[in-house]
Amino acid sequence: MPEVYPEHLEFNGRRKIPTSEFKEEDRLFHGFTVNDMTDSGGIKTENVRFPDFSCNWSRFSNPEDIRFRKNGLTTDGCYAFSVETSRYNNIATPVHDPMQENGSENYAHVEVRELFEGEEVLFEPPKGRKKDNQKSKKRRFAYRINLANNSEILISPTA
Amino acid sequence: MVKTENGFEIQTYDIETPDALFQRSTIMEYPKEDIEESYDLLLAQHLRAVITKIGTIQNAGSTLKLTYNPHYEITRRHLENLVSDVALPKTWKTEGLAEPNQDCKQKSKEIIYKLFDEYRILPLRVAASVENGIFFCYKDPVNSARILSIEVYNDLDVAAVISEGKTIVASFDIENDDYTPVMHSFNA
Repeated sequence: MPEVYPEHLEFNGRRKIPTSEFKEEDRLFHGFTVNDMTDSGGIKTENVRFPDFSCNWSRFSNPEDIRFRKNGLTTDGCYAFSVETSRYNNIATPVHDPMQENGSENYAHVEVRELFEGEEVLFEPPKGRKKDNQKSKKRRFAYRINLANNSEILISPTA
Repeated sequence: MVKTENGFEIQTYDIETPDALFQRSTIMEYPKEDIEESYDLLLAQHLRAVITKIGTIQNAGSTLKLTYNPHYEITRRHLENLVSDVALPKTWKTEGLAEPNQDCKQKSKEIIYKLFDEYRILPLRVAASVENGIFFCYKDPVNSARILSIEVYNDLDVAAVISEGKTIVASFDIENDDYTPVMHSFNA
């Protein structure tokens, strides 16, 4: 990991952007390790931590920037998926969530949050919501599989 | 069809059964009605499978010879170990995720056995899930892009999803341990 934190991740007076500003073709970057990969080189569904799935927005960051997240390592890989994929079946939507952590700012930070039935993708769900009934678990399971199947590995992890 | 000394006709079938059925001898001959009456003496789950098979056999003789298949037991033990060995990755423990509990493991085993017994499919991967449970998946032997994924949660809810390539084909809540609709869709 380069010693210098990328300046483009700093807030620099920029404000949070509403969910309606995400374009379908924008991409979301997520950091991962070899433990998150299947033997055939895919993404393990069982390791996809949805909801509140933490990512970086491609509009404000590069794939390798995910290594600067909390507990990030120089050996980490990065995979990407589109905003369209993140909104699969209106189950979730990305929410811009600029964050400050360990003294560093990450303006590109996004959380993919769960939508409940009837909510539109332009609605901004609050952090930490999760229904635990069987139907919700089935929806999330299908969502996680779809996300794993429609992600592209941009940087392969080395550990 | 073979005539025995006492005149009974014996029809031999290779019905795969666990060796617990054959503790007294490696091969036993059961008149059909004895099999049904011996329900309590035998392992219930497998006896049900045997009786189901008997029900489908046309023109069966008066006695059935059940032949022990050692590969079946070996496979079952392997499947049991796959589930028993599932553990939460160390890094997940610090994040507050729950280890798959014993009930979840037992239910996962039952499902995996059932799909093996009835559909002859073996899981591709068995692992802990971030959703507090156990994940396992199967690849269609004919169409390798078609995958059946199942999650069993610590509260014993079960979800199944069939995908093909990048597309989700179907998803199911499993009620009453009925996997027939899932398997119909997976094999379609």
